[in-house]
Parts: sequence; structure tokens; C-alpha cells
Amino acid sequence: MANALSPEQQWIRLKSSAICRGHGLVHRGELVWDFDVKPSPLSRTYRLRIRFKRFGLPDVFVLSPNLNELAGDRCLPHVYSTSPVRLCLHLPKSDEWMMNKSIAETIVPWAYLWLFYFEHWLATDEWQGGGKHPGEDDAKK
Amino acid sequence: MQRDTEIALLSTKKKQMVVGLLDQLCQQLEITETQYKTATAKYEAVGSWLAESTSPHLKHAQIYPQGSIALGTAIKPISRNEFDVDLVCHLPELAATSDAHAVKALIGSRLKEHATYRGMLEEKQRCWRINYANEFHLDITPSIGNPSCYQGGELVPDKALAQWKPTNPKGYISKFEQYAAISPRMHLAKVALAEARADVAPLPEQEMTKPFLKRIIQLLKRHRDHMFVGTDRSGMAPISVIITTLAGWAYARCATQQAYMDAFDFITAVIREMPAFIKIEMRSGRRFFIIENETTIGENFADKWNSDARLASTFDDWHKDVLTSIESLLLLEGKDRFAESLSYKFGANKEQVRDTLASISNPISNARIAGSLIVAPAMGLVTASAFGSVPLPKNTFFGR
Repeated sequence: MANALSPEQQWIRLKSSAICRGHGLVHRGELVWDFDVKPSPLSRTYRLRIRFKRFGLPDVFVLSPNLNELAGDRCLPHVYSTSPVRLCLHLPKSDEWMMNKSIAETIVPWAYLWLFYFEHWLATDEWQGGGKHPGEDDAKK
Repeated sequence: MQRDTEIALLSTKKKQMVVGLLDQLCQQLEITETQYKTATAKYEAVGSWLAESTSPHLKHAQIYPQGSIALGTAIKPISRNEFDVDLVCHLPELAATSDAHAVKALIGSRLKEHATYRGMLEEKQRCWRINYANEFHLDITPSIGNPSCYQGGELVPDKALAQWKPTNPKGYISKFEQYAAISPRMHLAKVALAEARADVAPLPEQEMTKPFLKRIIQLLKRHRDHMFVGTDRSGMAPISVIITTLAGWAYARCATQQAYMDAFDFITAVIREMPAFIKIEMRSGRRFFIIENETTIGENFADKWNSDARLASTFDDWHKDVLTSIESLLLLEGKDRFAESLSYKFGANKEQVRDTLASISNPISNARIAGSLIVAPAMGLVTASAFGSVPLPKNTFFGR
């Protein structure tokens, strides 16, 4: 795709953003970026990892704390996997995420939002972030 | 420097949000405007009924609220539906030599003449109670003038109806309102901090939606209710008038003598200061507790503490617990942890927790829909732009 951002270009954008200060590198074509997120002043600090390969979809993992432990016997909402915890932040095959977009300006803010609603869900059992489940009409446009 | 500013702003914002949460919780606990209006209409009707009596003693009867309903500090009770409406039925015509039994009976027999009240009436030690099932009850205590009180006080029967004792409901309310009207002073530090860097947006002030003093008292009473209700010490819980009086004095001192960094520091300072206003004298080798009604002479709210020493130590236990409960909120991380604390320490039920947290999540969700949501460094999701912040593009959470 034209103007697709390379892992190196994404790395530069992540490194210069003030909302995902952390560290990481591009090794053998794969970007790994670790950073902390505190979605609101009342929230915990979460350690996140983004992995991204050219032409791939960015993966977002929550390294700590262990969200499954926080959730107790409940199943985490809107995740691709629970071990490790991998977040579903956007609709696949839509223009929400495209390869020419900056991870630091899309995936990262969405991770804040996910964690914000996660804490609300922990407290109330209600997911207020909306979204779609697999099988629902996922081609929004 | 950038990080220092961020940390300072984050801590200020967190305290502001904690105050906001406590305020929201109190809003959940308050009786509604409709309940208040209904109760008012009912007691006014009772007042008219009494005054329409043929008895000359009741002709100038005045009914008015005292206690939390009159002070604006009422909260819903935990274990029952009905809330108390404490009323005084003042009979100005009667002399201090009147028999308390007879005065109470006079009011009772007039109430019994009313076809509806008759079935709802319950006799209590010092007052008559009219029960509005599942809504509220009106507790009507007779009072007469107190000619020896220069502050316009009244006399009410003691527990045994053996004699009259001084009190001053109206004077107490107006003194309390004077205290509540004092505005606490806050340092301008946080404003200066924001202005020092033009790129740091000033924080929106999140004030309490009711005078601080009244909110603080509601919070204290709720913690008290939750701590004692259903326990073997339920009869020893600190009484509301003691909490209200000490909080009023502590509030007036804190508000006038010092300036605070923020509302949170002010609220905790007021609570911390409360016990300093309990007067303790040594009488025949024993501690004698005094919490005076400053609006009349001869009413000691701590009277019972002097016949049951456990009451004073129960107050201490409660006071330590409520102060720690509020102070330790600042150490919590995670909105879910705040929710737990609101239910463990203030007895908030699931619905109240949900509605309290909604005050934080609704503005975020609304801004998200409007496309104005922003991520700011250190602060996380905010609705006002700040240096280094990133707007939030639209997304749809996916997955199961």
C-alpha cells in the first residue's frame, strides 16, 4: 500500500510522542515498544507492549498488572486472547486503522480508552466502551 | 521540569476527582427534592390541624423542622426505607411550669381526633410519631418557651417527661448556617502553576454541589451508619448532633484560620480537627465530657458520655476510622478500587457505585461521541487540550 509506514517510521513516532513514553527497538523488521499508561488520574498504571511488523496489524499486549487476576472469575471483554492479554482496539478491515496511520496517534489513544473502560467494567460489570463482537456486521462501511 | 509539573497537576487532579466522587456519592444518598417536598407538605398539614384545635393552648402551635432535614444534612437510612423528619411543635402560650406529660398528651389527643393520623400514630418516649409507611415518619416533639434563655431558646421534655430541658432548634440552625456560609480559602498555587506554563490548560474546578460543611457531615454520617448498623454497637454510634456540632466548629476554624492546597486537604483537615472541640473537665477524679449547645445554656450534647464511658471511646474509634477511610482514598489506584472503598467504607450499593462512577465516565464517553476526546501526557483521557496531547480518533472495540 502506498505510504505505508515502516516499523522504523512508527518507532520514531512512538518515541517522540508524549503519551507513550517508554522504550523499544526494531529488530529483524519487528517493532517492539513498551510503555506505561495511566488512563485517568484515579487509575492504575498499566505496562503495555506493542508489536508491529511491516504490512501487519499492530498487536497490543498488557504486560502488567495481570488483568485476569483483577477480573477474578469474569472473562475479559474485547480481547483477542487472555494469556497473554491482547486487546481488540479497532474493527478489522475498516479504515479505523490503516498502514499509513501512526500507531502513536491511533492504537495508543485507543489503548488508553480500553483501559479506562476496563476499570469501569471491573467496578460495575458494565462495558461502556461499546464495540462489536465477531460475527456481528464487522464491515462498518 | 515538564515531568514535575505533570506530577503536581496529576496529584491535584486526582484529589479533585476524589472530592468529586465523594460529592457524587452524597448526591446518591440524599433524599430527593420530591421526598422533601412531600414531607414538608405533610408536616405543614399536621401543623394546621393542631392549630385548628379548640384548645386555646394549641391555637398558636407552630410546627417546624429541626435536625438534619432543617440543616440540609439528611441522608437516606441504610437499613430501612423511611427517613426521619424531626419536628418541633412549639406552644408559645404555655408556661415553664406546665406538666410535660400533659403537654405531650394534649398534642396526642388532638392528633388522635384526625381520622387518618389516628391509624398512623405511634407514641414514643418524648414525641409523637406519624408513620408514612415506606416514605418517612414525622417525629413531633412538644416545646415551650424558655424565658431564661436570652438567645430565644425553648424547652423540651426530658426522656422521662419528668422535667423540661433547654434546647434551641432555631438558634442552632441559624448558627450552623452561618458556619456553612464561610468559604474555605485555597492557595493560589495550582492556578499559578497552570499559568506559569501557557501550554498547561487550567484544570476545571470541580466543586462540591452543596456547601462543603453539609457535604462533609453527610459523608461522616453515612460512614457512621455503615460502620454501626447491624452491629452489637449500633446503640453506641456517635449521634448526629455531636457529629454536626463538632464538624461545624472544626469547619469554621479551618476555613477562617488557614488556607489549603485544595478541597481534599481542607475536608480532611476539618475532620481531623473535630475532636479538639470536645471539652473534657475532671470532676471527682473522672473525665467529664462537654459538647455544648452554644445557642442556649444548659444543653450538653455529650451528656450520655458521662454516664457511659464507652460512648466516648466509640466516638474515638469511629473518628479514627472515618479519617483514615477518607485519607487513604488518595493511595488507591484503579477506579474499581475506589468503587470497593465506597462500598466497604460508606456502604454504597451497586447502583450507587455505578451512578457515582458515571460522573467520571459519562463526560469521557460524551466527548468521545462528540469527537473532542483527548489523551494528555500523565493525565490520560481528558476533555480539554493540553501540551503534548493527542486527539482520539474514532474506533470500534472488537472481539468477544
